[in-house]
Amino acid sequence: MHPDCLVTSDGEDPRPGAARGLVGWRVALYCVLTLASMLVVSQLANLVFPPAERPPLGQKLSLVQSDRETDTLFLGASRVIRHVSPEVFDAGMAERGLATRSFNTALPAMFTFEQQHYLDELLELKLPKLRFVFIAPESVHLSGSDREVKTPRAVQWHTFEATIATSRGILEMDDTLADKALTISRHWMAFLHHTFNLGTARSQLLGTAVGEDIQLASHELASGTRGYRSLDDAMTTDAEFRGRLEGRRSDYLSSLPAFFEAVENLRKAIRDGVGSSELGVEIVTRMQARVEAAGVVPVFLIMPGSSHGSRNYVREAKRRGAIRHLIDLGHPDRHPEFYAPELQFDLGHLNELGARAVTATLAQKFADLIDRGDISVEGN
Amino acid sequence: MIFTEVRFLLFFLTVFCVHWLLPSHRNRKIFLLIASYAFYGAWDWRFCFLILCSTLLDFTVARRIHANEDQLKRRRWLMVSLVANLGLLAVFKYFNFFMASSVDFLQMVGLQANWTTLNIVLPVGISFYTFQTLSYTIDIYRRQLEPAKSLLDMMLFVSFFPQLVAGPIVRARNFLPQLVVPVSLKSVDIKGCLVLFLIGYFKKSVVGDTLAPVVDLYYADYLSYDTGAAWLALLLFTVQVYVDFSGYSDMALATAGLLGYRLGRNFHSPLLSTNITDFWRRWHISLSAWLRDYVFISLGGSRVSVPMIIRNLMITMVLSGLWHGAGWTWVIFGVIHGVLLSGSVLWRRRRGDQETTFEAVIGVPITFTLFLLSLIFFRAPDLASACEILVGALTFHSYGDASLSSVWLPIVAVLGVCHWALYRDFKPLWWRAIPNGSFAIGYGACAELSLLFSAPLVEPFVYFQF
Repeated sequence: MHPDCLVTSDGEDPRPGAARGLVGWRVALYCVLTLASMLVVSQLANLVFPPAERPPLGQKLSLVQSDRETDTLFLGASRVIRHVSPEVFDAGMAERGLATRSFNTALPAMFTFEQQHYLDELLELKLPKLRFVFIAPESVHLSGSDREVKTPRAVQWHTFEATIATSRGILEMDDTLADKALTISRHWMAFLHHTFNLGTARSQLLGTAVGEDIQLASHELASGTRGYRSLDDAMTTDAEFRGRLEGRRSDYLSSLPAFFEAVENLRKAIRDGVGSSELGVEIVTRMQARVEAAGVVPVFLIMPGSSHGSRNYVREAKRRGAIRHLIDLGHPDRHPEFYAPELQFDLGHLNELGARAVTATLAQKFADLIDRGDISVEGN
Repeated sequence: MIFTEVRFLLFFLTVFCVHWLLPSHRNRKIFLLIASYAFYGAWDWRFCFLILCSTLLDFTVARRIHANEDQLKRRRWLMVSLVANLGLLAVFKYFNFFMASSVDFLQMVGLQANWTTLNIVLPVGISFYTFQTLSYTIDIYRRQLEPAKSLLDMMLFVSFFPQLVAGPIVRARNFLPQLVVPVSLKSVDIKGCLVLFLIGYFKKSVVGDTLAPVVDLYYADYLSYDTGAAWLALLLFTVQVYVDFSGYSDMALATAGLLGYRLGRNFHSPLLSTNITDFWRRWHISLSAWLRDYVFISLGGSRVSVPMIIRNLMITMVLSGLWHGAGWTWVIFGVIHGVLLSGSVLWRRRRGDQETTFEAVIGVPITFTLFLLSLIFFRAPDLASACEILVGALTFHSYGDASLSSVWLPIVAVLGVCHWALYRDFKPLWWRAIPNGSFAIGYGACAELSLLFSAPLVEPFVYFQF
């Protein structure tokens, strides 16, 4: 094709006579036809190419599915995958005479909107013995970073409803209007990617998702760990991960006053009700309904972590009675032991010792709920 | 903002609608100028001052040259432009390279040198727009061009966003006249532009971005791969760099066309070239033509003795290598092509200008292979690695035992057939025969198929680094 053909300098119309009246509504009609055609092909493609492969999620789902005996799932982000050891949890429950077989399905950087999507996928596995799902919601206020909008994982959860909810969350934030508009536009871009299945065929054919920066190590996927992996273990056994973790660890060790300040800020944020988002309350209420509809008991969790927001909306939901069960291990006044420097790995996460301690406490509190009759040992 | 991003599509859609809704030609130009600076500022708003300075300088200098009859003064003004433009390029692009090379050289001869390099950010597209402004001033000096009628035209010529960051390098003599004569939307072959844009998108986002991770894998750890994988990676990079850059050029031509402006063709199926001279007439045509007109011909061109032709070719191609990047790998890339071009000239002098059918047939794979090998210096991180890869490939020596999937071979074969079909252009302007409604439906389907195979993470274009 010679580019000189694209524009005629003498103003002569290069197209057949019938196209000369190309104005207004005709242009709109052609645009509609183009979009309709895109959507039809997109939907047809869904039949041939299922949703894009998302390495860590797909791998975890396969692991969960492979063990049909699992009756308890933990869902959340890094403060769950790094803090909740199913082995310690099951042992703690056994000490109280309660048999459980739990699995940690959490993944790093799993935001609440993605959790909703992932929760549906977990429930669709229809694990025959599933009784309890522990959910540790994260912030509903997103920044529009590449990780939130560009990875196959992120594109996958940007459904219309999720994108609307994300936009509402961003509107609740303290940013300037321009920043909010920019962040919202980034999420709507992800929605467009989601709607038009951008990259799904490519991922299916090549077998890998391009651009995913969170990968799980092979031994992390071994069934023995049941989805849990402490950061100490990750640092000693994973050469690729080590560099990043060492940096985070040395940042923490070199700035202990910053850690104490973060804990103090968290304490103040909880006290002042910062982050009591209406949207957050709606979301956890909806998640509870979904889990209950599957005949499973949902238990919400707030895990210790000084640098990841107060998650006050979960406390607010409990206060209003919108959610039934909440185990709050994140409050620095009620659980100062989890903010002891010797139990920290970095600013936002516990080390192996801390993880074991927090899991033991979680098991104990959960067993208390069962003993008190708040939760039936049979589930729903 | 990259052409394959959704936000560029939204940006362009807005620009397209507003541009054609504006009633006067002058308003359209002002709007396009604002849009172009916004587009460039999306990378880094500070770059806008740089391009503005460059524009103002050449606008002023060109007027002075044109107004002066005194040859000495004209030459002085030309020198001002050359020194300023090349000075900017030297500072932003070559300063660290020259400093590091000087230190290395002094240390090699036993002298202590402890100069430090600076943390200079390379402004996107500086090599492209510097060459554009230079050509403007030189053409006026040579009395081949009248100065721009207005500063607005000059600013738009330099900053016109479809070609700003990665070419084609537009000549003022081709572009400025287009700014004078208003064009209506009915003069634009919208369907043709849309087809060209989609072809460019497919090349870049579907083919280029798919091949990029495989090539990256090889170059990140080439010592682990066997010789088959090495040759495959070299082949894939050749395809990648072509589809990446020609895809960008297609999209640039299409977006400019939709706004009523013609840009020159930048590629003409170069991977089917029959010899290396033919190759440089078909690869990055706007740069080759620029170097031919302003460097090669200025040095005497081919109307001199054979040794002088070879000297001219070597200088031109080394400059071409350096234009691409500041590094010894680029210098060697230029030297290789200088040698190949010189060899080609000598061969033609001996065999006559007319190429036989046999030469043409055998010439395609030979030219392709030579280009493929030269690209090692284009892609390798440093000279030592490039030499190792080249020696390994030429001696069929396996450094390791890892391999790459052979699934890429049939894919490359299919791409080769497509490349040939586009070159033959069996039914030119075929889209004009399709009714608009059918075209819209078919276009939507093809666009969606391209999206299905594209990557959520947009990779920058290879040529953005230049």
